[in-house]
Amino acid sequence: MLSFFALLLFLAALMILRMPIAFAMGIAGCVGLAVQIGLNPALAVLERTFFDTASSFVLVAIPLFILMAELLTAGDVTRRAIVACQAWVGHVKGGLAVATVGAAVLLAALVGSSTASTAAMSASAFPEMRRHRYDDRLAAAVVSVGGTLAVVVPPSIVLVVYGVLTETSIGKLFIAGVIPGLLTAFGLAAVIKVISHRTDYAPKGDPFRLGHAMGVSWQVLPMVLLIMAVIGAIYGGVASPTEAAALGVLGSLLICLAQRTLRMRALGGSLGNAIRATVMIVAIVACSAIFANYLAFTRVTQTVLAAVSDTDMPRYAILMIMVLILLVMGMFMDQLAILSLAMPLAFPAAMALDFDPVWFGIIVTKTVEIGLLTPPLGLNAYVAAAQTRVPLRVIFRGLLPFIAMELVILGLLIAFPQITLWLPGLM
Amino acid sequence: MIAIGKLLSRIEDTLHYGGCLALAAVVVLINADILMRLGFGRPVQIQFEMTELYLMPALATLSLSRVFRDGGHLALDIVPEHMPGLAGHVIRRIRLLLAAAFFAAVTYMSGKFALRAFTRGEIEFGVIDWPLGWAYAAIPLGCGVLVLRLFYETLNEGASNASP
Amino acid sequence: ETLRLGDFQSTTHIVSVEGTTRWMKAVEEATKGEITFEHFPSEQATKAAALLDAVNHGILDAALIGTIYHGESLPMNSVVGLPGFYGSAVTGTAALQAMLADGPLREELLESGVVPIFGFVLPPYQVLAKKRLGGPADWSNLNIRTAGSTQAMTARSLGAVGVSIPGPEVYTAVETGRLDGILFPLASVPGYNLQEVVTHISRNGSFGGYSFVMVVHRDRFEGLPEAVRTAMLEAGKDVAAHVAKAQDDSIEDLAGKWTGQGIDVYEFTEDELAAQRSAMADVSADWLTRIGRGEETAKAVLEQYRMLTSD
Ligand code: NA
Ligand code: NA
Repeated sequence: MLSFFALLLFLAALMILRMPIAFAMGIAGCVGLAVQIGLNPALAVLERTFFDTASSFVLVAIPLFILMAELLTAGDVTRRAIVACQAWVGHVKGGLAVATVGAAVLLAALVGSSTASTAAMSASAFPEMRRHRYDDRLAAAVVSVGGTLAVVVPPSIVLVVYGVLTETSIGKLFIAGVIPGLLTAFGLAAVIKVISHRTDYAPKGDPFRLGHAMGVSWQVLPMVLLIMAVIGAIYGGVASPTEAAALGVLGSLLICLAQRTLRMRALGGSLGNAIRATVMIVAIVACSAIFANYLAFTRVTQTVLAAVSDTDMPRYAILMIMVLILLVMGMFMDQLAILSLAMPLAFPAAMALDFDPVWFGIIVTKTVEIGLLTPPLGLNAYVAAAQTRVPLRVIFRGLLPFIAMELVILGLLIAFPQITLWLPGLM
Repeated sequence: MIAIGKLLSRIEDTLHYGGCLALAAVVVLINADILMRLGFGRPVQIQFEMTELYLMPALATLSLSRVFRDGGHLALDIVPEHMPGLAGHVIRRIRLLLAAAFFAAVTYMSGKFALRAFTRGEIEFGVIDWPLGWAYAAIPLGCGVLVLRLFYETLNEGASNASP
Repeated sequence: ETLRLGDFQSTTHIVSVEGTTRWMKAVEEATKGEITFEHFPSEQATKAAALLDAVNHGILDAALIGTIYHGESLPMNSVVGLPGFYGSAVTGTAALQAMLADGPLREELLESGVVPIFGFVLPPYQVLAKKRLGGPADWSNLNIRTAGSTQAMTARSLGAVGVSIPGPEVYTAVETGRLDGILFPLASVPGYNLQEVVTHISRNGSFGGYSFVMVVHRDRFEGLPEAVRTAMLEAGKDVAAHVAKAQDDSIEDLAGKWTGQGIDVYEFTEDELAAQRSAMADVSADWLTRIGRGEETAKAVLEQYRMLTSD
């Protein structure tokens, strides 16, 4: 236990002294493993961690969605779509940020990974918000938090992994995610409205002119058609969600060609940007896998969860502690690693307390998603920072009110299970 | 030193273009698979294994060093980037050396792993016989160049602004 | 003494409940606590494909490996993946246990630095689809999800297209029609809830097998007292038979449950089975030339496997 806290201190020191987050997790994980299982086995872990992390077909959705967004932006498609949106909502303070949340919901029906969704929006919606003089604190936070909708609204990789780990109905989980996802979207919109009124982060645009709005509306068409085509490809059985991402890239390319708005140079730049973000993300995921490995071998999670579920506290108190543990894990780890570490104990404990497995799945998913927004390791914030070049601390500060709203929504979902269970109950 | 720096940058850029090409190849392969399937009922069978075994590891790791050079591996920014004085100088060097040691270990271990696959002629029996050595090789390549970059920055500390 | 044991199933999976966990408990009891285990389920310790290496390097002391992930180190063990052989987990497990006791399957495990304690198989893969698939004519040009090259070849030999789709996307892919069918072990269907998205499930097909082997690091095993080694092997024997039977029984239960939910759980006719078998014979031939390199060892392994699995 002592060595565990010493290691956490070491990790904290590395992070505070500006070691890149991926490297810090890898180094601390490696040192921890050497203490826990010996130097040679610890080194042996390095043999294939990076390969096993990178060699994943599901992961390819990340560079593909970034590339799609980069192309749409480079080819002026995003800007034109935003001009059309702006004509309708621009006279409202914060209207564009709210429209971004709307776009995030649409994107969520397409993407199953919140990292991919955040990356796509950082490359498309963020530059437009900046162009319209939105403060970085708001704009970067909105794309970071908007991305998390992708795993609550189906399809969702996190919900599937939860379903497989716990043998819970994936169909019910998917349907159960819809209302909490929409509720979250409304919550985020509300936060944007409050921020817009209290601060000058969101400028007020030109007054509303119906003629102008009607006139530019068609500009949103290519973007909407593309998204509809890709969603159509998924739900029409033409492509799996990951394959559909590649289709989206092709579609963006075709639109740009048709509009003659994309130069060869910009195409190369888009590829480079997609690679850049992907390399950073995979480095973080691989290195945090090393750290998660260390954490697994310490059995800290198991010890704490077992101690909690053995007490005779009221069931909601135990649930709250479990949520708290997941939130803390979310500060340092990838969501899927958290699920694999915590669910073998947390799930049976929750079932013994008579909680509903589908509802518990949504609670757990919401909770680990909040981890993507919290420092030190909040992957969505890192993705947004890498793409937008907004400093991390600015993003983390901007995220505070949104995290508060996420916690409120989590509280609502815990207090009123029917919000989650009503739709699947109709099945 | 300047010549070494230029050479290093050139290697990084080459690997980066390799990563970009891998991503472009993924786009082409998956779309070819979908279109061939829809149009002619004949999928591109190698698509999945090619992507998972070779293209993903390549596009995710070949640019590790180039991304570092561009400041793309983000760090928490609680303390200021350039702490003044000797302390700041020492901290930056230790940071670079620690990172270099870690990636040297990754390079060595993953390199040994790839080498073993080459010498034993390891094969993944997929749609075709895939030689595994080439699949594994991207990792030590990407990490190895990063180690060189980290050493270079350590020696050049103060002269360059690319340190993390 | 505490042994670190890793696997890649969730703790709710039947293979874990009736196999891994049960074996650990049996060993702990038989050795009166002299041996205890630290269990790292669901890839906590390492990815499924890295389990064998992890035991080899002493990251873990023991692991339940899926041999299909280690085709390179364990080519002969991949014989179990071939279609058209065993008809139930009990039959397949008896055959596997016999081959692990002595012969090339055991040898190549020892050579890669681990001792096989016991092995068992999943019940044979079945086909799940949105229509009833019988003889090869029904399979023509369908997109069938397969895992690994042997299964892809199986699908092709029946005239279908073998499609690789990662586990987390299978559910959506079937639901939306990207896939027409899936080859899947029935015991794992509840985990992925695939019964929610298909209407027809076969139950007497044999579209390939899947073997698990519990392995312990070789030096580690040899360093254990005689009594402990015996206890492990004895418990292994019981558990292998038990988990096989439990899986066959659970499939009975699942079939009943699914029928109750309106799913057509059907049996192939003798004619359909014969037609499938003759089409799938190509797969064994391909295995011999590609993986077995036409060598005598491979021929002998295949022959022995055929003999042990035929009733
Ligand atoms: Na989604
Ligand atoms: Na976090």
